[in-house]
Amino acid sequence: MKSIIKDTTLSRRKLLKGVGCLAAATMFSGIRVAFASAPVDERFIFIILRGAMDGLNAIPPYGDTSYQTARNGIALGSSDYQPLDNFFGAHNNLASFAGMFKTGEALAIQAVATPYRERSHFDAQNVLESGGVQPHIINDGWLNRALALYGSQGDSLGLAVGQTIPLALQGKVGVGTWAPSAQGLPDDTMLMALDRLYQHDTLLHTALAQAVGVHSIADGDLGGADGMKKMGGGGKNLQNKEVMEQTVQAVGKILSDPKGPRIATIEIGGWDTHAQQGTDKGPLANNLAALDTGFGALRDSLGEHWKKTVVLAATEFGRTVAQNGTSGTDHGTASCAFLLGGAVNGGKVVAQWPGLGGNNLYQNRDLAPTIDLRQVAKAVLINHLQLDQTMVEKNVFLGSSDLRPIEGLIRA
Amino acid sequence: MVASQSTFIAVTRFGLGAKQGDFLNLSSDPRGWLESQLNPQFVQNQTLNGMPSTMDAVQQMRQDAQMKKQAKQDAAATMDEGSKEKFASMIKEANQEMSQDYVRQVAQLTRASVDSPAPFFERLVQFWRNHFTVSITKEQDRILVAAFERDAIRPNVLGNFHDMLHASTRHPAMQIYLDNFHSFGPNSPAGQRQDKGLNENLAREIMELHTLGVSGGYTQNDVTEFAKILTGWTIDAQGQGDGSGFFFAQRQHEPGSKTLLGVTYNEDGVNEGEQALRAFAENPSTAKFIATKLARHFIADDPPASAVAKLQAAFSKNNGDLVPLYRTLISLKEAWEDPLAKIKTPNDFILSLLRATNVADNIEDKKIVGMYNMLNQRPFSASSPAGWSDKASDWIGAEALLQRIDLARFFARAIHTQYDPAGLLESTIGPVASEDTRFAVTRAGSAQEAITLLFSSPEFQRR
Repeated sequence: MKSIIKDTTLSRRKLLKGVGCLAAATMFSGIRVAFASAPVDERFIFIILRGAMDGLNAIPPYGDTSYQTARNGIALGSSDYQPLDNFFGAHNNLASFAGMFKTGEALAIQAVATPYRERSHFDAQNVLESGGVQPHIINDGWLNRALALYGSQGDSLGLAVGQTIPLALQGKVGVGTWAPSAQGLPDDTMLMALDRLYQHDTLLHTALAQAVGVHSIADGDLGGADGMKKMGGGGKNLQNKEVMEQTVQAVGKILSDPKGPRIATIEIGGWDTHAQQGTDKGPLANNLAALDTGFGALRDSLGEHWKKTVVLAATEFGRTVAQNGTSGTDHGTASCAFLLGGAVNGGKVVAQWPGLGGNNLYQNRDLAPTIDLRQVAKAVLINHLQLDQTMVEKNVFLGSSDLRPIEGLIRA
Repeated sequence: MVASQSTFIAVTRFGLGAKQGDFLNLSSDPRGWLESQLNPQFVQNQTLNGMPSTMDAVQQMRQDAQMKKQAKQDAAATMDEGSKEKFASMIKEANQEMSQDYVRQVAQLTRASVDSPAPFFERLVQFWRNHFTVSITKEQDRILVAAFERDAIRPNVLGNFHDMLHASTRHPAMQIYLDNFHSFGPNSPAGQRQDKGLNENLAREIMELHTLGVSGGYTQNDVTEFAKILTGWTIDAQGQGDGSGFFFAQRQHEPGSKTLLGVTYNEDGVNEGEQALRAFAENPSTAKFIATKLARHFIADDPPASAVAKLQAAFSKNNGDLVPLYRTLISLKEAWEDPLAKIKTPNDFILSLLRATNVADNIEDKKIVGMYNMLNQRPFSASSPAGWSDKASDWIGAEALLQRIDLARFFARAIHTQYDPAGLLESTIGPVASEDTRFAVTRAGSAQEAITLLFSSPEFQRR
């Protein structure tokens, strides 16, 4: 078993304290230095919106003359959004996003979808995260394969916010997880005993090593255990604005550490609005507000690193254009995605608008997809993270060489 | 007699973890012990006494809704601030009461599993309640989820798959969770009058998650047609039905014939849905889907195709009868090979801690639910209708592991004065304990540390 508890300043201090006894000294013979200088200074955060976000009410195409009629009853009213340009608007609860749009730090992509064309959440999320063209043909995540392009330096570059790692970040490269937790790390003696206990169990040993690495950065800044307690343990409820804000502030700190991770995933659920989804208020509006809180908190907490940051928020598919029988929407096809950060060439809505009227709907019910989400993701990997296009097409988004990365998304 | 690896597998993988003495008592015939639990008479579970029936829960839900509606109206009608406050606190109290009921019921179900002499049966209950997921992410379901397990799942675990599918689909908890109760046929009398229409949520998930599986050979058109077939399947809110909590509202049902998976269903009210569920249960895709999930749960995250094929054949041959299916499962050699192939889910981990330490009766209901919360697997709160994952990669990450170690520490603190660590090791993981784990437990600085390490060890974290 190679990797051992990560050697950061704090963990080394903590661990060395315990080397008084002979057993401890032998246990730590395997420590190696990790978190050396990172091979990339850019930051990238992928926010996974689970449940299928209704993109037509997040970034409403108010200029489409069919918008009001096609969305019978759930279209946003003219006071429920602010115009971004003369065709698209942003839901009022996306105020931070709209503010960044105006300062050129945010953009939206409309009528975008993965290559998946059925309507299962779970298969669609598999495609969104694996980066395959069909569900279940690739077993690891596209972000993990991107990390692999950094070679051995890719280890410790990735961070999943939550107790476990989403498929997007699963794979050969080691990835940390972090969630606000009430107790932090066990004490040194216990850590050393666990290190030995897990030496022949790769899964548990890797998780332990990652925990030590990430906690060494995070715990110092956050008032320790007490500061975390009020956030409700696992930090799972990111649909709550307050939890979102505090969690994301901590994530910003972890990503700001010079030797910390560079690439992170955040997951937020609750977008599956089959019933009573509302317009200016309601479950969709509440979720958008929580997401927008996350956008603002990321910008604020990343500070000087914001200028090197790109955030992509995307969902597995969109929802029906018309409302269903229960004032909600059923599973659809295209939705919108958000791209923001100091490195984003923002202030525009990127779309090849298919229209909502007449025969323009996909299968006569959904917003038709005209942009492949991989065109956006590839642009981030190639133009922002400076990964080689050939390598990306060979290893990350396999067989996507016909699919051009969208130009002009990232500042030159 | 030294307990074997097979005994460990029977107790831990098929069961819910070892109680004191299990390895010694069961080592003569571990497979026979599992078989004995497939007898409906043996598993009559008295510990569910007092748990409200579905009809009780529906009545409570109705009274609750009426009370809240009245309180809201009264609050709106009065100008007096004191009265407004009184009505607001009435609503708050009602909500708290629902939460307390949920907490009490989860604790009761937990204790039933912990105390049960038929833990294999209890594991099967939990497998099926996860297969047919209902979730309190829909708030109204708080009052109904335990009744769902009591009335839709438990009575059918040793019965036939179709009957469980049927009971699940009819149950108010499922009707609410997947929105079917307020799906209206657009051309039905009630749909026309109230200008309401279809909601296809339940129809899709029955095909995708309960029966055929996502690649089971259906189209969007099948989803829409099945949604029409299911219109009118709703909750017996007025007490007009047969006492099961289900009611078929003909006025809500889409009239006319429907075509589902190439079969035409002539207008026939509730019978259309009955026939469609029967057809799904008999579809070969369903046999394959259920076989795969069962093999994943009992053998490995990526189960061997040979094992899946045998289970699939058993499901089909016995027309969905479940006991012969479980017998086939017990007979698979693949299920008895690697004793640590599966990571325990948080639910498994918590139940095995409670069984090992025998402290469930001394822990408050709230704390029992708190443990599940801490490890992100509060019963009946899955974030999607696919239910909880059965794969290690979805349960083990850095934070998740720290939480498990912390819970191990909590238990160690509670029991270290009553147990000898070495003895506890033998009674929980003895047959498979590695040298590393024996070393850690015997050399630890204190009994509390020793037990924390025992409960954190790979042998205790796996099954």
